[in-house]
Amino acid sequence: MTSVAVVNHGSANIDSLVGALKQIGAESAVTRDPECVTSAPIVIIPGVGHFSHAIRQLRESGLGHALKKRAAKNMPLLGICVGMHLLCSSSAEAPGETGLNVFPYPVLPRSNGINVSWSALDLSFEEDAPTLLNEFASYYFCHSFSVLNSGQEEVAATFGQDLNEVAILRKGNVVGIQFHPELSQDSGLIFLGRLLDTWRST
Amino acid sequence: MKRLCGVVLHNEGWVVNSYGFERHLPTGRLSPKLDELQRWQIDEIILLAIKGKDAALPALDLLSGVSRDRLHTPLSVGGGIEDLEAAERCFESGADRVVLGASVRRSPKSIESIAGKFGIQAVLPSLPVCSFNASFVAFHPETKALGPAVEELSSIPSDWPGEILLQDVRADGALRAFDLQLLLAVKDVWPKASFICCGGLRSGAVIPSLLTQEKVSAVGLGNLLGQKEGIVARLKGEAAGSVRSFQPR
Repeated sequence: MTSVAVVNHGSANIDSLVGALKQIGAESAVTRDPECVTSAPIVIIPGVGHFSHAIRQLRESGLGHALKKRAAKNMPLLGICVGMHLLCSSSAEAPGETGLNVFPYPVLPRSNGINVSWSALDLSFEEDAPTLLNEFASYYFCHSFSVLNSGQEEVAATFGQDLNEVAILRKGNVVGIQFHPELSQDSGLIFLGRLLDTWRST
Repeated sequence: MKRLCGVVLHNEGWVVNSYGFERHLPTGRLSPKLDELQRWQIDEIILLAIKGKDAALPALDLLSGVSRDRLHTPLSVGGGIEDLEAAERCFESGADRVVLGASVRRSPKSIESIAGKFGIQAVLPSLPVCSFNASFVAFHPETKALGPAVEELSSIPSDWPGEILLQDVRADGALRAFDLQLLLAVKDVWPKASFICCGGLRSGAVIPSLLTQEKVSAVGLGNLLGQKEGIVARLKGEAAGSVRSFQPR
């Protein structure tokens, strides 16, 4: 069993993520303990939530500092949706707030508003992406803000019109994804399973 | 891609068909229906409890019968959610989004507070309405009567940028199709919103036609889902190009 620490930032759909991890055979524990976040083999920041509320929770609990420390050590870390946004420098959802700045890019409002949809991804940016994702599959997105693709080296996959929105940011073992694997049925479970397997093997 | 959503009405562990929002017919247990909808690759499940106004929080009762260990499909939950605290309990119990119905009218501020914590995309206000004598009227669950839609129009902010569940009350469980006039009426009231249309959606050209509307992000299928295996795959085939295709295992 792989042990995964799921960060509780106070507004996430934790039950869905824990259920998905259980389905793929990963043992998980929900935590607000910075020490646990620093030392766990794998950490996931779940999606759902407003950037402002979540970043304040991370800052006040010390979890934000622990997550930055973890990212600096290149330890396995996955941020889902707002979890990815928290790893960025800032978000237009919460003007004046700063993110964890692991990925030094701002999260911006989508030009055409909210996106609740299933979308395929463009995986042509990184060699590893096709091994984690199925190019013929669709993944579930639910967001109003996103990171724009401007050719950043961490961009591993994109989606949307003109492929201008980032679906996956990856810097070593730190991964941010805009879609929700825990809600993407078989495609999402396969992605989660492969990502955890990759981390387990390294 | 736009979505085909399963709108599942529920009462005490039973899925019910709805007829005009007034009569309800039990059709089976909830848990197997959710498993079935996931197997059919429905794009999202919208679970609505239909208990009366005296129930403390029917949405939570509903969630107690749902296991997220097996359900990996987006789950929106509604029924009796009146404030932020109730919404928090729903998210903690397995919801991915919350549906705000009559509660929005009682406490318009709740929509702001819930969106302020969970994000606009996690909040889905519902709007049970119909057109009557060329006017726009709303269904009031407490009285089960149709009346002026003034409260509904003011309870959701006019600049709401999220989705709204647009329920055609007169087409619910009836032979008539979803009234396109409703969509034309509301899209100017909430110009930034997109709509999940439900009520009166069966097969034929209605669903693909609705999905071609710019402001429609999804359609909600209700009683139709009581039909045999393959209905979702068939509907996805009819709406090919607009929705995620069915992938045979």
